Amino acid sequence: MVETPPAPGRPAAPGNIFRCAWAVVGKDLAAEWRSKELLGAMLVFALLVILVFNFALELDLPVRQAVTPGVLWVTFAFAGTLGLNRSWAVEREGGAWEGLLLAPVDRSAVYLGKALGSFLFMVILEALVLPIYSALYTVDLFQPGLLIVVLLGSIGYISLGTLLAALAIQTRTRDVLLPILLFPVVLPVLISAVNASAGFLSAAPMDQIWPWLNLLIACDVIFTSAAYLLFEYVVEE
Amino acid sequence: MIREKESAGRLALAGAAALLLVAALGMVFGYAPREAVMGDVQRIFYFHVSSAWVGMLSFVVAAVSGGLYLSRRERYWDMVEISAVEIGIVFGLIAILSGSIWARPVWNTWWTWDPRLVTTSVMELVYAAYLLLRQGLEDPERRARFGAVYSIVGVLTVPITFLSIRFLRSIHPVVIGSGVVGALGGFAMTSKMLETFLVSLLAFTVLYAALLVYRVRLALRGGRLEERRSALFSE
Amino acid sequence: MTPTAPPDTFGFMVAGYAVILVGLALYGLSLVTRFRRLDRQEKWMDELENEEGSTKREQAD
Repeated sequence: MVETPPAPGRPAAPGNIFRCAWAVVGKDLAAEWRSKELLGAMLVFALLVILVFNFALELDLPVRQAVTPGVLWVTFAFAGTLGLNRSWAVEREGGAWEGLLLAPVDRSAVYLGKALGSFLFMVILEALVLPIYSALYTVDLFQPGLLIVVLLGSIGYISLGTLLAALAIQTRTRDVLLPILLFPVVLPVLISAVNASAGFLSAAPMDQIWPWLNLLIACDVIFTSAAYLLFEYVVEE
Repeated sequence: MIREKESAGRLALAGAAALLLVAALGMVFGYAPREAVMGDVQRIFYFHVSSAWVGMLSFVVAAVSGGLYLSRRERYWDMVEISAVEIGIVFGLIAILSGSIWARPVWNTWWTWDPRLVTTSVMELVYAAYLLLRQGLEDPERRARFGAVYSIVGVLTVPITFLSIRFLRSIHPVVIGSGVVGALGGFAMTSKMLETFLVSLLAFTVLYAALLVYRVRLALRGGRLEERRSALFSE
Repeated sequence: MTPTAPPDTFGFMVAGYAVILVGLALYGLSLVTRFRRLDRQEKWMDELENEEGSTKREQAD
């Protein structure tokens, strides 16, 4: 079956979008597998943040319970910016930026691919941080509810982060700008995630946690759709 | 000829704004009653809330202009957007500062984690981030395009931030304060207060319109001057 | 029950309104200043363009 390739930036068939997105993900994963730069940096950074918190806050047992959700999500939020920045910086440095834009794919496919890749990196980071935090602070973090919240929160965070990182990387100030752009607008995700996490960790009744989960899911849907639609305006060249 | 006609319209708007503002001030100090629990400081409410309202309205105006720019690519909408952001920052700041001054005697603190106050601050931060974004870009087309994208992102997220904080406060009521959910300075509003408030709101809205119109005009004229400059010096 | 007089928060009210009105005034002033600067620059541009125009006319002759 012969497919006529669409012109650069032209809308493609839905199946094509996912295939292209997956190709982008594959490329990023392969590159990272070879160098392992990004994950190493994110992991070390995350551990350092946890360490700093240990000294910054008086983490005796009762405080620890209360503070864990916040500490976790602040850690993820900060380490996440590293991953987001790196994800786009790689393209610019390698000169792959132009290649990516000239490729006969729907721009939205590029967004999906990048977002998916960043999401996977973030999940891997979280998979490493959670057991370490658990061990260091004797808090059981391996509850299914909490893990679901971590995933949902990461989706919302990465969806906005990917869009804004693409913006930031094209400015003079580059990396520095991403946290400034991202944090004020990603607050609803963080607030919902922290509170839902806290609910699961303190074994609160589900009807107390549901509102936060609903809000988190709503944020994920709204932010991902908005970012998906707005992305093409960010990479016009 | 056309320039003079436009000026007349703008002047009329400015005049109306000034008149309404004076009328509102008169009502605030002369007509509205002194509140029983807080005393005179409660009068700040009228201009404080009106200011916050304008700050948020401008936020929306900026995002709508952004959307219009993205679909039409006319520089005019970018100018409206940057004007709206600038004015929004000013009114937001006034709202926050006046809110802080109001809080001080009532709750013995300069800041309360009231959902509206926090959301307004988040909005100001988004505004500030917006300016930093534009500052980091040299190409005016990109500045306009990226600004539009970010203002749209902002207008989507900030209301959700407000809802999440308000929900949070309803579960964990603020210890300092009247205990009424999210109420900065809960008080019973009499009809005179309501009238004063509505006039203040109107005055601020008209003032906003006037400032916006003038600020956009400034941007338009500035843009034309730039064109003349580059035409002249490219020879 | 004897009604108590409301607390004297007059000073804070004044401070609040001072902030509001001064803030608005400052912004208004910044607009006026920027308009004036624009007028000056436009006049200067007019002069420059006239010079360009007259030099061109001289060259054409």
